[in-house]
Amino acid sequence: MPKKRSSGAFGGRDDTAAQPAPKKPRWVPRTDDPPNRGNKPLPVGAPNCLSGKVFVITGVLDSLLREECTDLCKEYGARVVSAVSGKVTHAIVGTEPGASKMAKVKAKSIPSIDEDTLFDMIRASRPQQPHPMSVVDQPVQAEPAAEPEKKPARTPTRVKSSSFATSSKRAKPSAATSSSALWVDKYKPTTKSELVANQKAVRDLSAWLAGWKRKFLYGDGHSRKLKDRSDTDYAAALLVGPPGIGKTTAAHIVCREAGFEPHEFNASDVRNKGGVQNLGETVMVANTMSKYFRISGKSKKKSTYPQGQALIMDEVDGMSGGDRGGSQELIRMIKKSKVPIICIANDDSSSNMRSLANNCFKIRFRKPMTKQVTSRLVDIVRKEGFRAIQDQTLVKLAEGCNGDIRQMINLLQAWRTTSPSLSFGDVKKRLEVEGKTVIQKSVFELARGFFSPGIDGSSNSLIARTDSYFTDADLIPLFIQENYLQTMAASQSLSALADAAESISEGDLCNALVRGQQRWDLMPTGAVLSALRPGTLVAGGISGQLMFPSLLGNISKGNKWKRIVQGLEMKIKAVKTSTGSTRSFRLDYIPALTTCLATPLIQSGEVGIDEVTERLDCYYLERDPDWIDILECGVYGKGRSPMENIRGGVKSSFTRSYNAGTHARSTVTGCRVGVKTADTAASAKKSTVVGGGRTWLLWMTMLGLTTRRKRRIVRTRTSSMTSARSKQRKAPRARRERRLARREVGEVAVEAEVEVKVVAVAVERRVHLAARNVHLESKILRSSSDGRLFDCVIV
Amino acid sequence: MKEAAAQLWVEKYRPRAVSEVAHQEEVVATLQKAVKEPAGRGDLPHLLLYGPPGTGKTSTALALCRDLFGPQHYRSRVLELNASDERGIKVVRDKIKVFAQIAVVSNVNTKGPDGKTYPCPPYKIIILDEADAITRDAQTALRRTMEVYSRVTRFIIICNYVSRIIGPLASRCAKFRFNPLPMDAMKGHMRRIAKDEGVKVSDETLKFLIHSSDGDLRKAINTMQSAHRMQSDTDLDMDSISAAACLVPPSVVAAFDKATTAKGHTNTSVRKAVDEILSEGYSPIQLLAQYADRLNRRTQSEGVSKMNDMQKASLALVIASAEKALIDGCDEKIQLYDVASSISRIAHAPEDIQVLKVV
Amino acid sequence: MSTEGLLWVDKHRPSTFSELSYHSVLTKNLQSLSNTEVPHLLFYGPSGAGKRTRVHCVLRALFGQVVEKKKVVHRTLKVETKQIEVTTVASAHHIEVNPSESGNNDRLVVQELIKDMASSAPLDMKKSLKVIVLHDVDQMSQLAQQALRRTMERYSKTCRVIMVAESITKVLEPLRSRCLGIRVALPSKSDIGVVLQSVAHKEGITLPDALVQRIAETSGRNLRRALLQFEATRVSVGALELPSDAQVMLGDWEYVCQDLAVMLTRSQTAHQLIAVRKKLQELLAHAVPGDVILRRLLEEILRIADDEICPEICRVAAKFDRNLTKGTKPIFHLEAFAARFMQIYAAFLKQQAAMMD
Repeated sequence: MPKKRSSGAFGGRDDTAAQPAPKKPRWVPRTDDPPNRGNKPLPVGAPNCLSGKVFVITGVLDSLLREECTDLCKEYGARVVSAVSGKVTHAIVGTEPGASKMAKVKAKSIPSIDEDTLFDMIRASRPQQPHPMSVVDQPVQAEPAAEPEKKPARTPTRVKSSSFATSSKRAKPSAATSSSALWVDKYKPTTKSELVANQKAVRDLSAWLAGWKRKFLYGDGHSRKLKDRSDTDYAAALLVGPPGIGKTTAAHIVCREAGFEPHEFNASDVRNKGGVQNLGETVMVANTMSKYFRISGKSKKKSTYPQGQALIMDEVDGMSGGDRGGSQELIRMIKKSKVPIICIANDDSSSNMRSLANNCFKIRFRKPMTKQVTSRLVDIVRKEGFRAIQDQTLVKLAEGCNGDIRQMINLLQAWRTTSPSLSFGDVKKRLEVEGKTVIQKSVFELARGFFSPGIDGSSNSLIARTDSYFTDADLIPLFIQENYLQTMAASQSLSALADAAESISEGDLCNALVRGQQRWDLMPTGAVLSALRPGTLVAGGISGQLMFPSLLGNISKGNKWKRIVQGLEMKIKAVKTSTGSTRSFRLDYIPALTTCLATPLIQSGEVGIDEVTERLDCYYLERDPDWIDILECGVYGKGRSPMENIRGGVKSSFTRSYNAGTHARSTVTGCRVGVKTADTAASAKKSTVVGGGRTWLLWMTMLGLTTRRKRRIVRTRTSSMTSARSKQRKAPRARRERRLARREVGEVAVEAEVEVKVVAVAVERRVHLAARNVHLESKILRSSSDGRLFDCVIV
Repeated sequence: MKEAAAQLWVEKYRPRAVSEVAHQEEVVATLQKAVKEPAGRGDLPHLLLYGPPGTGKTSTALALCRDLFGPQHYRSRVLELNASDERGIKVVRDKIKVFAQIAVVSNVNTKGPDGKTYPCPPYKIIILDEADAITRDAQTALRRTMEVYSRVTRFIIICNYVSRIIGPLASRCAKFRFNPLPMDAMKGHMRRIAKDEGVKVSDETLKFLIHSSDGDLRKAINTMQSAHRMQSDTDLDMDSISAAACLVPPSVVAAFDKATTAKGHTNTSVRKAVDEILSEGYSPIQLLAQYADRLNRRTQSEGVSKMNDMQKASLALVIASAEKALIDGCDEKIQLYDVASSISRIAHAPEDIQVLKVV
Repeated sequence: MSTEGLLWVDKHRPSTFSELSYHSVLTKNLQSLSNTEVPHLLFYGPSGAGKRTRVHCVLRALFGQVVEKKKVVHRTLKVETKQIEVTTVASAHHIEVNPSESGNNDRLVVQELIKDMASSAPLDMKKSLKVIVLHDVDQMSQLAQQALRRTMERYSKTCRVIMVAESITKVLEPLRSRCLGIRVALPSKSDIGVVLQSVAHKEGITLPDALVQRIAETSGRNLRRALLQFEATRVSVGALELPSDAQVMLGDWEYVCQDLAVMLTRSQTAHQLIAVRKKLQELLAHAVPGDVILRRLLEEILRIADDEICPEICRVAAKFDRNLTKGTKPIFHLEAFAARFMQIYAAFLKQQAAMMD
């Protein structure tokens, strides 16, 4: 039963292992682990040996995850597509291939190969060396010699601290990198034509700016009604788009080219109401001053900025919070501005942005296409003296950064400081560490991920799941709790089920500590206990959509009934009695009252009306809502509900006869100020996100793993492939060693997962223990007899 | 008469002078020296009095002030603050500081209205009773005040747990630990009060009373007063003492012991014993404490005290965790069910005991 | 106002010492106390033992008929910048309040109310005392209890405090030692029988002894519950003569807990657990506290389950009870208990089956 191996191992669940192997569970998802994962050596071939080939992958491969295989192909210059088309040269087929894909493959008579054939193709490309022994020299040249130096760079923390320190030393040899300026600034586009993407947006912006003076300075632009305006008839423009795609740069360039002097204000400036007012004045004054200077002959500026000034308000969506009233003031300013204003924002959907957006000409900036960026990157790479970098590598980088050009250039610069060459694998690893590959998923998808844990390296690894926990640390536990009973594994093993339930229960304790005592350090433990562990214990597919947590609805329902019960209690208390506590009022009083108020109507119909009415009057209760509330307050099985058992006719004649009479009303208003329950507020509140990609390291530190172990895990995590390969190069028995190394990687990953679980439990136990110790301590102080008890415990 | 009856005996018999304080010889000696020494040199340090409740800390502090200033100057020289007063950081900054700043006239060795001479040294005293309840922030704010005004103001800090006082504060004080009163010291004291108040009590009962109050004199006196109120005409007996001290009567504990350890008891009957105790309204924590007491006693030959050490150890764990749960406010019945059924399980397997997993 | 429509538990509630039927020694002591002068009192004991009734009797003995004239008052206390609303029940001589309802502000409620009450001069100088009755003292925060202790001392000349608590252990020791503790145990089964029969006599109802026995059993010696169950049973029977095999009417939630126990023992699957969860959630949503559910469920399960696995079930229940108390979402812990029980029970059944073979 190889399929079970990984999940069984780190789940630490004994009875799963005992399950009959042949019965292959139906739910195995497509992304499931390859049977011989990690057992085969990765082939090493000549660079670009696969270029020109186009692959399509279907089914579960023998040893590689699909993503891994894709990366492998790309590394050697091939393209991998997802749909079968005429261009496809090979189909890589694993077990359980997709039926439709296979049909197409057959129809188009594309040669199908398996994983091993692919490996052979790659290996075959390495011409002269028959096998391991003499591998030593050649690849070292093919692969950069900087290999050993690069190692530290792979741990994310090192890179950040060391990149600038090393840059000064290493930058010298290549002439191109002599300047210490940030590449982002260095390669900033300076003309409109250099702007990589969003040509239409840029055109729109310059058209608007060109027509601005005519409309608003000399024309009637300001006075025109909002709804009469066409798109460009606004005194301000609002550029909206994700970060790092050149909005600010575009604004500056367009301004300059249109002859305006750009004045930029961003989040670092004070931008509350007063601040914006001042700023408006400053700009106006500056405007007149420059005019004055122009007249008095100092006319150099005139030639550069004949049109005067333009105001660029960067990062306007950051104007909430501390900048009270800023955006209102900005709108006011826009309405009578004498200079064009360009506002820039990432997101225009928030409420305070909406009113601003209504007064602006909105221009949307989109993420640049990968192709557009790549050409720019190729340019930079060439200028900066990188040694031949494959296009595929840059494409991967562009994809990984999600279109954020600034990020790409920054990354390139960081790499350049350590080595003049860059391989596909480096980029991939780097991006994984940086966590840039995380794509926004809905909470439903995130929660589903917990039930199909992937092992180290797959898209749903422990880290990935931890990250998705922290995207919404309030809602995810509820989702897990709502759905963990639905999986296949849950229905197969009671002990796994009970363990999962217990883990969830303990997760709630963590949650209580976090909320009640601000023990934020317990958040990761909470993540393990309330999501990761239960999800792993009952891992398995869920058929159909995940359910939304019913708990939320039930909490508000519970609060409603609590309020009603309290109100009823107060009314009844006002009569001569006092009835125990609120609790016993609900538990004892209401059931009896229900019987007394319903049974006469059920049993004797209309005859019972008088009896019920008298009782209500006695307690100053009213038919509506008190009578209804009391009858509906209980929980009844099918057919036992008193409200349903009263015949419709009796109910309506009861209403009639009740309304006909006069009734004393209680002076007590039902509701009273109770204790606010924090649950609903807390769950409705947006979660506090503790961290993204770095959580893992932080977490391990917190859990107190030994440094050695930590280093080992991180190392194996980040550099598994390379280390395996370098070993192969050096050692004669490379193949075996490589296998060993890979196995170790797998094991350590599994081990790490188990360990995290164990440690998490230990932490929790420590909390328990600490609590008990404090307790015992206080008891010793309290009296000597309890001190003896403590001795006993020590025994 | 009515007024007198309403008065708590604890207040009535509170020591008036440091010399009257029972049993705390070390403290008494040191403080008496402070009183007797020719005053004016300001040689009384800041004091930190700590120890379990009912050992005379507050009484000592008050008596010391009285000895120093006499009734005439007591009000102007002493500020007493305890947990029920507001003692946030605001109070420390305003009230305490203002009082600490006031300069005092040195009127050494004034004669009180009662003819006695009081040293009346030139400083004021601020008594912070139950200081463990002062927030850390407020304690931090207090640090500087203590130093700056030490010329005219002395602090007496009183607390149960010295660990709750922040280090910098504790290091500025002379520390005195008050020990729980030993049986004999308490007995003499209690006898005297009983005689004065006309309480009829036998030696045996008195011993039980003192034992049950764990060296806490105030608790013992209060218990005696309560018991006397309920049963003023006859001799006090064990039951009335138990009732007044909110104890579980020893007979009930013994019955519980028997029900859980005796052979041939089913789990159902064990639970019945628990139900019985709970419906009588006894406090489960008290029950557990008294039961644990039994566990430690080696003299009895029946029930829990007959168990071997391994059994006792695992039992102690069970009891400790249940007690913690009860203090946290857990359900009494469920916890006691657990304890009772664990006891019977342990009792019936004396040979093969594994320390029960603490969950 | 007619009293005919009142529930019997209210209608036949004793209001003087002479009407109290059980705990005669305690009654005598209380009587002699109220004749002389009252110290601060602390009534403690399980729910349904008659604590509040006795408090009421003490008040009645102190002030006479006047205390019956009670009214509910919503008051707004202004302390510094805060405004706290409390609901009190008050007569000319006493005031009843449940400070724990005000949550974190209970300390201010206690201080302000007592200050307020003690400072206003009593109307009748002869009965110079005013009494403040505090309910659910054990639910009050530590701070509030500390404050209460001091306030009690300061105003002890004009004001007496009567406290009511279910669990004495949650009342601070200094507070305990300042009052006279009065333990009110649950009435014995025969006591309950006597009370039920006397009510039945007043109402002209024939109540067979066998039924009395069963009511005493199902009510768990809780007198209030017994009386309410008695009346509910009477109403559902519909006649004045009750048959001895009449079904005792339990509370709605008690039936649900019974159902749950049956469900859990009948089948142990994930599917069943989902059904159990639905029921649990419904109970919680209808204002039934989680710990009550857990306790009752445990009792029902212990009734059904075999003796051998009882200790283990108790152990598990105790654990999840702890989690329930400290956690924030009761359903998580109840469900975990149910799941764990299923596992234990299924294993036990399997073992039994193996032994049979």
